[in-house]
Amino acid sequence: MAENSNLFDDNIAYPQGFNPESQSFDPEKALYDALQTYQKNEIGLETDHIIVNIGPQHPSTHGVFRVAVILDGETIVNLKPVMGYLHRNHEKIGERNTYIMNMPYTDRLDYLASMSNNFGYALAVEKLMGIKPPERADYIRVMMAEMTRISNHLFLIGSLLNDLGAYFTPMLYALEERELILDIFEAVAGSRMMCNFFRFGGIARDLPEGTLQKIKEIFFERLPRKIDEIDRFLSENEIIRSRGVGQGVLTPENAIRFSATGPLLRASGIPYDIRRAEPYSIYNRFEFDVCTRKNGDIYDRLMVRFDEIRQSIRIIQQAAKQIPEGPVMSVKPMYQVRVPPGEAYGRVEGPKGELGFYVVSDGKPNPWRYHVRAPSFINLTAFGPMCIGQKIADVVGVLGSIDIVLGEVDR
Amino acid sequence: MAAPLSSQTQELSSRFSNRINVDTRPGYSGWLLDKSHLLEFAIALRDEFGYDYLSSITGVDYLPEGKMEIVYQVYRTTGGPGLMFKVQVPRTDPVEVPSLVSTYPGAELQEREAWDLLGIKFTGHPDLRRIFYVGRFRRFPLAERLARAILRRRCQTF
Repeated sequence: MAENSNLFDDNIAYPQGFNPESQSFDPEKALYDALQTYQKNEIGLETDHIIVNIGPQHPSTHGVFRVAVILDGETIVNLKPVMGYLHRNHEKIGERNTYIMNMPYTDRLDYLASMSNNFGYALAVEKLMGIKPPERADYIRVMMAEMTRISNHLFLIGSLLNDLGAYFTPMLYALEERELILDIFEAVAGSRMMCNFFRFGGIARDLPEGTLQKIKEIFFERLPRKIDEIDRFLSENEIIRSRGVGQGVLTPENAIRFSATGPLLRASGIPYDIRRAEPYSIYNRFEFDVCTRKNGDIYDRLMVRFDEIRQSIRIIQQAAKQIPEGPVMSVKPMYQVRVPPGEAYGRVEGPKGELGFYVVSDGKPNPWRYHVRAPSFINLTAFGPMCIGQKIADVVGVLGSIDIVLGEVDR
Repeated sequence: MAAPLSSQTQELSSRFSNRINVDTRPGYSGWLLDKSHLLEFAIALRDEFGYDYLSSITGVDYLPEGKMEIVYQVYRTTGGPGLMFKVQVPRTDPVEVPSLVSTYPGAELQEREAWDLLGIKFTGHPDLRRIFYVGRFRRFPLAERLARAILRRRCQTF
């Protein structure tokens, strides 16, 4: 019958006696059993602990993400994140694609910061191929990466304040500035969010006429004023301080142990920034500070992002003044790139943390293995321990301040 | 990632003598270990050499050579280039490797991902469940198992 015929039916070799269709265990029961492994406090009256699912459909889970918590009244005793609702099998598709075909797929990993994803992938494959982009391409790459960082942090400010209860007012203040950056992306790359702008050996095309002038207008005159305005409204606000200061604390030792990176690590006080620790591209030519804060609570994670926006504006100002003329691709644009066999791990400081691409090549047109080290996914290891002992209303604040994007968590 | 620095090479090979080897495949870099020395090596890296930040754990399936490889990247939070080390296990059923969760707790979700996608079991992991393919899915999507690799190299451009 036409419905049952499968062209590739005899191409799969299963082990002996394995039937993929048989049902053997209940995954929900496994999750709830894993949740029950916590310290039970037997003092006083015996109470029941309730399991609550802050389910995949929820306005403040930033996408389809589920959190299973066990509550003692309103205090959390154990928490486990459950993900996989947006899993699109990015890594296996990466093995099917050729190298250049993978570039638009990387846009859709962290869909709010697409130029950073492109940057990491281009760095990894350029390491394998042994080529470097020309100067002008490097300056444009750095400017685009820093603009992506500003755009992501503005979106985070908006959505974190939405989660904390301020609805849409701060979000619209922040998104209005983000629209200017997205207009520049549209002029340069053709698309607002899924830019697909970087290529191996440079970038796809040069900046159009007048774009550099527009960048200078925004980043020298308009954006510093507006960021100070938003900061003035938010950082002294009593509600944000009482919901943020001292809640969801991540100590520095725990942050390193749980492999947290990015603003999550720096808000706890560890000054680790890949742009300074192991500089890539031309970041060693710019003057900027590594922003840290001392306490590691929700308020500090919000403020460290304001600091980072200011440092990114500083980098863009220097790059816009120093940018030379020249070509933007160091090799001839090719449809089928020739990549020698080997492996490479290229990492960038994305807006959410360390974004790394591990590519293994065997000389053929497609990669043999393609793995993405997603910062949002790995920062979630710290989510459980950070929330234990807090009230359930703080889960939403902590999740918002970790800054996850489901495209990256699930790939 | 660049080849390990020569000072690092000296220190590591003198500390571990003949239990670790440099990866000499063309285009590859890093150290190759046997899985029985993994925990000891990881604890020594974290405590003596200062590599306290585990960046990523990946599994790679080399079907032609009959091996599964687990690749670890560690860095120092004081900065500088990192260290890549790999454990190769033969591709039998089941594939078992000691878990690094006791040394680097950040490995928890990443080892669950390697179990889910490739079928590598980490012994000693506190909670080894599937992470993406939760449900009654019982295959390992990224482990190569095609009898004839027609579908493997299908995409060409122009």
